[in-house]
Amino acid sequence: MKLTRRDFAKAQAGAVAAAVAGIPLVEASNLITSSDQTQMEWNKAPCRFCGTGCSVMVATKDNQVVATHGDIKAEVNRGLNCVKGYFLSKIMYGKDRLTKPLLRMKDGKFDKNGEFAEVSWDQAFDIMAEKVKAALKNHGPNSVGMFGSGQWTVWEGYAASKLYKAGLRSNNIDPNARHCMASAVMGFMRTFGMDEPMGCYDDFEHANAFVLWGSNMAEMHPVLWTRITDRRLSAPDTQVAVLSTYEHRSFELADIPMVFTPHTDLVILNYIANYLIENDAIDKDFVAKHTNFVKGAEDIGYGLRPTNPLEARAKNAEKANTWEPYSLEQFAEFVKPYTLARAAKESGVPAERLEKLAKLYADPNIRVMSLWTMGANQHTRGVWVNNLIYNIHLLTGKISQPGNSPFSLTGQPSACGTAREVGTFAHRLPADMLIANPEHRAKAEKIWKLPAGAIQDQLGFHAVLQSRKLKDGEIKFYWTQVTNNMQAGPNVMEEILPGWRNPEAFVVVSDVYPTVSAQAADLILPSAMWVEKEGAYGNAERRTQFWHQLVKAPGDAKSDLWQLVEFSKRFTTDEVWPAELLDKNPDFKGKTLFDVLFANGKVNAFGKEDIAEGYANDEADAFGFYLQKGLFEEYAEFGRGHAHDLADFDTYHNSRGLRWPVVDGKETKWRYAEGHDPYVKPGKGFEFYGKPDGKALIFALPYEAPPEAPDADFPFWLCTGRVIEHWHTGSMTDRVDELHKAVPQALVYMHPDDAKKLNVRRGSEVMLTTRRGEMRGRVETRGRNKVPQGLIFVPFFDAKRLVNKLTLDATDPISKQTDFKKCAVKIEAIV
Amino acid sequence: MKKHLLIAACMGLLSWGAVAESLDAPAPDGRRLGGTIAQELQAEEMPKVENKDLKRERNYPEQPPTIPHKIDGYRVDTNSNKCLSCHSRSTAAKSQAPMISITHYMDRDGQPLATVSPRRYFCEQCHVPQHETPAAIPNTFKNIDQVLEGGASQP
Amino acid sequence: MPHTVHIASLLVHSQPSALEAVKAFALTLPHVEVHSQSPQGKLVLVCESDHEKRIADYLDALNAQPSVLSAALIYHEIAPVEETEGCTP
Repeated sequence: MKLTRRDFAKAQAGAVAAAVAGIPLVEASNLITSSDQTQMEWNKAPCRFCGTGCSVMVATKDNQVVATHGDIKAEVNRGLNCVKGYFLSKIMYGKDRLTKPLLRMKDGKFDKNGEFAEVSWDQAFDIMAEKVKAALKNHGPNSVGMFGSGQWTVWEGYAASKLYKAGLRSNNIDPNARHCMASAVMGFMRTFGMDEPMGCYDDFEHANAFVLWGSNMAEMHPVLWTRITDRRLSAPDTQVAVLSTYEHRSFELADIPMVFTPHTDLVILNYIANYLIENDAIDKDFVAKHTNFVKGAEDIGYGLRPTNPLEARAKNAEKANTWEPYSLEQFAEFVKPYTLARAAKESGVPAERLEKLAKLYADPNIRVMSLWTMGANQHTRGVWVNNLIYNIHLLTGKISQPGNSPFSLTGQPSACGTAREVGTFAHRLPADMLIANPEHRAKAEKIWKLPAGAIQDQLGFHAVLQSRKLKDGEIKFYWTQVTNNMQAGPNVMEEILPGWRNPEAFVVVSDVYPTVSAQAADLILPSAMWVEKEGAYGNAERRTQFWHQLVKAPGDAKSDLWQLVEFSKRFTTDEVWPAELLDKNPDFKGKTLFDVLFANGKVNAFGKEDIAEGYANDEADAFGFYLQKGLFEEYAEFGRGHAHDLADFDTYHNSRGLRWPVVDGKETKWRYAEGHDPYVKPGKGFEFYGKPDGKALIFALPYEAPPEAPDADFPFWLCTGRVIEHWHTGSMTDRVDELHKAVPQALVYMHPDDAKKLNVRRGSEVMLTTRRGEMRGRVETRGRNKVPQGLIFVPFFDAKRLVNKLTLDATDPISKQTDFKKCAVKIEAIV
Repeated sequence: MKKHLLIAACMGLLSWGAVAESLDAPAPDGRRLGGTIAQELQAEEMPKVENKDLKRERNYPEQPPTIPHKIDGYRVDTNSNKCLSCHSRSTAAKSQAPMISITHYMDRDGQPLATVSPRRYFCEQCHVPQHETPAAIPNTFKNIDQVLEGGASQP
Repeated sequence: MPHTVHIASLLVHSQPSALEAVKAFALTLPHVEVHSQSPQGKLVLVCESDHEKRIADYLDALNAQPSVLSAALIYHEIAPVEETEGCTP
C-alpha cells in the first residue's frame, strides 16, 4: 500500500505526540497495525497443582505468561480446568518473588539468629558445602538430609536422589509425598507387589457406580469430578456413594451419603467383605486363580517416638509390615464379627445405607470404581484401609477391567511420576526397587556407573523421623525443595520448629516465595518454577507429561535442578567417600561428584542441538549439554523391560502424555489384564506379576483404635484438609487476587449446635488447643462443609493460621505417613 | 477481651513463651509476618462477599468470570441448580443475567448439546465469589494489552 | 489559505477509568482518529482540518469533558493540498 504524504504527516503527528506521552509505538494503533505484534505463543504444559494432571495451554509474549486455558486435546481434561488451573497465569507473579539467595548473617558472617541478607550463589554454595563437609567428616553420612517433593519434576527428583544416595552416600532423602501417598504405596506393595493403579481415568466413562472412601473429589480432584458428574447425570443407572467424616461438596451428587465416625472405615470395609462372603457374592474362580489369603500383623503401634507409652505398649511395632498365610475359610471367620448391626452402631451410618453400599460391590452387573486419597492415606491404619479396599475388589474380581477399578488418587502433580517412580523415598530406588535389597542396590550402581558399595545399605530417615532427628541434633545439614513443611508437617511446635531452629542444624530452603519454611530457614535459595524450566510430571493414572521452558526465571532465581547439579561440583569423591571404596576403585579418585554423577557419559550424552527449536533451556546453557534428556534416558533404563517402560524422551514433548508401561510405542490402560497389558502371559487372564506367583494378597486386618480420640479435656475431633481455591500451603494461590478473595482465610468449620454450646457464633474468634499447641481462628457454621457435632474442620492453606501446630505426629507404622485427619482438640471462645 | 488475653499471655509464658523466644528469628514478611511462627496473632474478621453485581475485568478471555454477587444458600445438587435458574439460555433473557458461555453446551468431545453439559454442572468448580478484602500480596501479572504496551505501563 | 490542510496531533490525559468514554467522545468529532492510548489514561488523537480554528475548537471541547485532565496540541503541520494528493476535508 502506498503511503501518501498525508498519511505520513499523520503518522508523524501521532508519533510525536505518543513520544511526548511516553506511549511506545509498538502497540496496537488505529493507523498502523501489525498482526505479528498481537500474536502470542501457545504451548502445552501440565497444570502445576494436583495429581489429576490436567493439560493446559500457556500463552507467552515477551517472556511473560499472559494467558492459560484448558487443553482441548488432552484426554484427562478435554478443555476443562478448575478455578485454580484457570488462574495459573498469575502464580509466578506474586510481588514478593525471591530473586536472590538470602543468608542469615550478623557482622558479615552466618549467624543462626542473624537477619537475612543477600548473598551470591557462590557464597550460598560455599557455606552449604562447608556445612555438609563438616557434618560428613564429624558425624558421617547420616548427619545430612533432604526433604523433597511430589512437585519436583521427574529429573529434579532423580538428580536429588542420585546426589544424596550415591554422591553424599546418605539415604536421608524423603519427599513430602510421605505425608500424602506413602500409605497408598505400601498398600499397593503389600497387595500387588508393585506400586500404582492398575486402571486409568478411562474407568470413569465405564463404571456405573462410584464409591468415594473419604475423598472430597468435588474440591480436591475437580476435573475428575466433572467426569463422574458427566457419567452420573447422563447415565441414569449410575450411582454415587460418598463416605466421609463430615458432609462436603461431593455430597451434592451422592445417592448414598454416609457420614461415619472417624476411624470406623476399617469396620465398614470388613463388614462389606463379610457381606460378600455371607451372601455368596464372591467370584470364586477369580479368587482361586489370582489371589492368596494372608493375615497381617496386629497391634502395630502408631509411629510415635519409641518413648511414647502408646508405642512402648504396642506388641508388633517392630514387625508391622509382616503377615502369615491364611485361607478363605479362616478369612471368612475373621470378618464374621463385622456384622451390619456392628458396622452401623460403630460408624453411625444408618444400616440400610451400609447395605446399599455393600450391594454395589456384590452385584456382578455393577461396575464399581472405588476412589480415595487423604482420608484413607492420612490415617494411622492407612495401609490397612488401602489393603481392605483391594480385598473387596479382589473378592468380587472387580479389578483391572474397564470400569471395575480400585483407584488410589494422587494429591500432588508428580507424587507418582517423581516421588514414587523415581524412588525418592528414604527406602527406595527407581522402578519400585528397594535400598534394603542388595541386588537392587547393585543394579542401581551399575546403571549409575558407580563402584559396588557406593550406595549405603542403611535405610534413610523418613519425613517425620527427619524432623525428630533435627530436634535431637543428629541431622546437621538439611535442605528442602518445593515443599513447605513448617506449614504442612505435623506437630510444628513440638517436632518441627525446634529442630530447624536447633543451633546444631543448618537448614536450606529452596523456594519461590518467603513461605513459613523459608522464614524458619538459615539460607533461602530462590527457585525457578513451572514453565520457567523444562519439566516432566507423572499423574495418578501413570501418565508422564512433559513441558518446555517458556519464560525466564526472574532475577537470580534458578531451577532446583541447576541448584542440585551445580552444588555437586563442590565435592570431590575424596572428601565424601570412604578411603576403602576409593582404594578399590582408584579411577574415581580426585573426581568431583559432578563428574561422577552427571558428566558420566550418560547424563551428558545429549548435546544442546537436541533441544527442540525455539525453546530456551537455561540448564543446557549452564552445563553445556541437554541435562534433562540425559537424566531422563538414564532413569528410564531402570524401568524398561521391567513393566515400568517409559517411551523415549522426545515422544513426550510431542504428545499429551502416555501411560506406562509404554511397550512398542503403545501405552497401557489396564495393567495385569490379558489383552491390555503386554506383561501378562498369554492364557493367564489376569496376572499380578508384582508377586512371584502372580497372585495378589487378600489381607485379614482388624479394627484398631486411633492413638488419640476426644475426651473430657479435648472434646472435639479435629480434621484438616484443603479447599478447591487453594493449593496446599497457599504459597502460590494466595498470591492470586481472585483466589485469595474467594477464600481469604482458613475458617473453623463447626456445627451450629456446638457453636451455641460454646457461646460463639459465625465469625467469632476461638482458641483451638491440643496437647501440642494452639491456634486462633474464626468460626464458620455455614458454607460448603457441614460437619457433625463433635468435629471441626480447618484447612491448612493459610500461613497465618498454622493448623499443624495442633496436629499429632502419629503415623501409620507401616507407611510412616502422618494422620492429619484425626486428633483431639479443645475450643474456647476469645471474648 | 483484655482479661482473656492476659490469661492467654500468662499461660503462653508457661507453656510456649520460653521456647518461642528462641524459636522465632527475624525473617522477611510473606503471607505471615516474618519472625512470628511461634506466635498466635489475632485472626482477621471475616470480610463480606462483594455483592455489587458489577462485571469485573478478566485477566484474559479464557478466564472464568468471578461471581459479582452473594451465593449464600444457593442449592446445587442432583435435583436443582440455583445458578442456572438465572444464567441458563432459557432464563437469561428474563433475569438479564449473563448467559453461560456456549462452551458449557458441549460434551467431552466438543459436540453441542441441547442443555448444559453435565461436566459443567457444578458452577463453583470454576466460578467463585469475591470477598471485600485487599490482595494478600500484590500480583504483578500483566495482561496481554499491558505487555503489548510494554514500557507504557511503567511510570 | 484555501489550499492547505492542517494535520495535528493532540495529547489528551484523562482519568484512566474514563478513558473509553473520552475516546468515544473524541471519535464523534469529525476527522479525528485515535493514534494510540495507554492504560494510564493517555490518548493520542490525530486530526486533519481545513482551518486551524477547528483544532482549537476540538481542544476546547475535549478540555470541557469532565474526566479530561488536560488536552494539548503537540504537533501541527500545514501542508499544501497538492502535496497531500487528496481533496480538502
